[in-house]
Amino acid sequence: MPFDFFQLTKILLKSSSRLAKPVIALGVGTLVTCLSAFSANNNLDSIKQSIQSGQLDQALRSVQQERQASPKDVQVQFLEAVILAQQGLHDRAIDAFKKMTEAYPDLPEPYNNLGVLYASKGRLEEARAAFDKAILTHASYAAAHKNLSDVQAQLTRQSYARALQVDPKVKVATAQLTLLGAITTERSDISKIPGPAVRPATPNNPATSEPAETPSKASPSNPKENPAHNLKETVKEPAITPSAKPKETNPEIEQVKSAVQSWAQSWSHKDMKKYFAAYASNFAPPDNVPRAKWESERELRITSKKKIQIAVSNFKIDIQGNKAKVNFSQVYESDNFKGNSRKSLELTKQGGHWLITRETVN
Amino acid sequence: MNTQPPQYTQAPSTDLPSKRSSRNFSWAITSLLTVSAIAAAWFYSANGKPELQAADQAGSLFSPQKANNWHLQFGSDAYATDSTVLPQNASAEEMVENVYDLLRAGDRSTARAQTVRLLTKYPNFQLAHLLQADLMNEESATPIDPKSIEGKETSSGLKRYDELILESSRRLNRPPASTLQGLVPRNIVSLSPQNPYFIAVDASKSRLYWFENKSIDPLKPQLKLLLETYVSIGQKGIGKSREGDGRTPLGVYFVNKNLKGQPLPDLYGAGALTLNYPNALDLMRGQTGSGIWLHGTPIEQYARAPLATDGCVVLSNPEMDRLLRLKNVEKTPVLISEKLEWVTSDQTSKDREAFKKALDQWVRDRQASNLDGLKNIYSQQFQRDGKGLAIWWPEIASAAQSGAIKNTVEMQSIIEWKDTQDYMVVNVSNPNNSRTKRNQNLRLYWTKSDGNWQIVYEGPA
Repeated sequence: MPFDFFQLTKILLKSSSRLAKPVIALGVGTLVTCLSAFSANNNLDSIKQSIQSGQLDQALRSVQQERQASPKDVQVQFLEAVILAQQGLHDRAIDAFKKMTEAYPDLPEPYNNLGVLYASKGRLEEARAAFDKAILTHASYAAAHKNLSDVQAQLTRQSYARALQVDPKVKVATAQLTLLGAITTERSDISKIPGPAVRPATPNNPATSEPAETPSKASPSNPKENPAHNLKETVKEPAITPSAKPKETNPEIEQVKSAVQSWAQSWSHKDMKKYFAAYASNFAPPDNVPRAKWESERELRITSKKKIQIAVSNFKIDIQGNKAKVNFSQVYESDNFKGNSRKSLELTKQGGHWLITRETVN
Repeated sequence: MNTQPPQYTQAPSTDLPSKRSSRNFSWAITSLLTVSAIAAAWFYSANGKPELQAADQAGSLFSPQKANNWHLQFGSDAYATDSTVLPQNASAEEMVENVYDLLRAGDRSTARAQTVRLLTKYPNFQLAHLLQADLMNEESATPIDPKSIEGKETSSGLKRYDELILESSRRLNRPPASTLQGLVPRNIVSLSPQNPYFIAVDASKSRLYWFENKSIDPLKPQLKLLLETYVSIGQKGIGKSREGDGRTPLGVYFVNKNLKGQPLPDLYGAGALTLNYPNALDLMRGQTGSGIWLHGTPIEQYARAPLATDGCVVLSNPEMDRLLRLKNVEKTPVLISEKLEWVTSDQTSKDREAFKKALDQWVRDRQASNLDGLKNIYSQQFQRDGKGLAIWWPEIASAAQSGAIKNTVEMQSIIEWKDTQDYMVVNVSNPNNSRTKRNQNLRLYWTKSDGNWQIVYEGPA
């Protein structure tokens, strides 16, 4: 260690008081001092104030009292670890944060602080892994992070092109940016829970169990859903709507579903013959484009891709006689694009086959 | 902490200019309170992920000692009183240096912001784009190889990359202006107060020095640095000898004309000062070519590569514009040297003492109309407009006789030039040269042969 960590920490705490929104920083990087997911109770607020004014011993005493009162309070555990870090007891702080990351793998804050402490000890690879995990606790952050780095790469390329005075439009690789298709569990919802509710019902998974206690069970976001799920899981999220349920018994439902799946499959395989065969002769292409023109455009668009992957799920099927309306989630992935959407198809049963007569993106 | 300092494309060498050493000192004191580096950014860079080409293998942006210091972020007011804050009118080069200062201090975010400001002010400064690209690349988890950036002509992109690295190292490794205080280029023997300026170009450093002449005693030249700037020279380097050889001539030249305000192609940017290439010595040596100017840059380039011109010396437009606004720049001596030698102004030598004696003798013989003595000072190698002494002697002799006793010649400048031989380029005012050409100045080239200084050229200046 090239510097006296304890000394430094003291200096920091002194200086931090002049900031409107104090950030306790430790070593290189920023040590997060509260869990954003939980609003603190009054006791915790006063402990934080003690930390910020440098009264670490008092803060530690208070936090230990608080811990006896509520041994499983994640916020209290977190604050205790922060105090240990501020006191220069890095190994103990690392142990504490590490335990928290194991018990609450969905919280980014303990990972971040663990990363800061590892970095301050020169354990850079471990620090990197911890920061990576902090970002990955939330699918949206992970996607934003990846997209940011892709865009950054593009900008870098552009800057180099300007520096070297070559045409930046030549040979610019297109980044594969990820489009999120749904809003996942909002952390702000969790933070609205009043203080006492932050105590995890089960110590192993507070993030998933807590929202279940909220009165708003009908909330569109699935409380059971792990916020760290990936994109494909996200699109499966919406549950089958009640309206679809009574018609589950209709055997036509399965036929319609399989017609749509086979259509998606022909698209994925770039099997244009089969793809076009999925459309009825009276299919109305969008924007009143003539069928022949629509076909040639589709063919060009589809066959020009090296790779296409279409995944369909979450069907909502409504059948009236020989007409069906299907609403479903479509995840589209090609060479340089990934995105998902809700799609609607209207089908008619003609000669024993369900054929598409209208296609719309919602 | 055993962090490896990141390697930058434009890594300056370790011999930091001394003007910054005082900054470093204040930095050391405030280092614990001032600050920087978001963990992630720092940590990617500390791992040295992007293995960028180091321009200077020996050098690195951070000395290991400094890299070991850790910094903490307290908000943007941390730099309010720091020396890394630049004045509003900072030049593009000072802004680049400032970015490096900030990086040395570990303040990446301010360095990034400063790079953005630099590019806003100088959008066609290619070096600043490279700096920005490197900074972004360094923080990226998926760095880009700058050599993979291909235009239609791949080789030109690669060539430009190498050029920018050279430009960067020339700019950042230059001696700070403060180290030149009290020093003058060795070549100046005498500079009378009649010369308002003196210009010197150091080709090896891609620098031009523009001095204001503060001399009281012409033999003890005192110069004040007005401007010191990066310049580009010939694409094939120095030592022009033939038309179209792409080289910048070496020697003692004089400004002929200030072309400010005259319509010139975009290539010349802010304007141009013409030089007297080929000079008398160049002509004696049979050198060809013309149109060697000091001029600005075209609109799409803030600066050209160190070796880029057809032989001209090219400055960035803000600097060129500043010089063109000066009055009486005509006749300003322009010393173009491969490598300038800096000395204190009271330097002398046996050689120079011998030369001064010869010069005094020439003045005395001229005043006394001592034609026999005078003729001995003129070399058999004398040449003017391709003709020898036999052709020119009558005119020289008659000039020396016509009323020379009444007026003395006045020494304007003596500039030494050494290459294969030793030369002295002497400018004198000659008020009694003739009635029709009053105040016609004379220029003489002296050379040393067999230990004696003799005149090889005399003509109007």
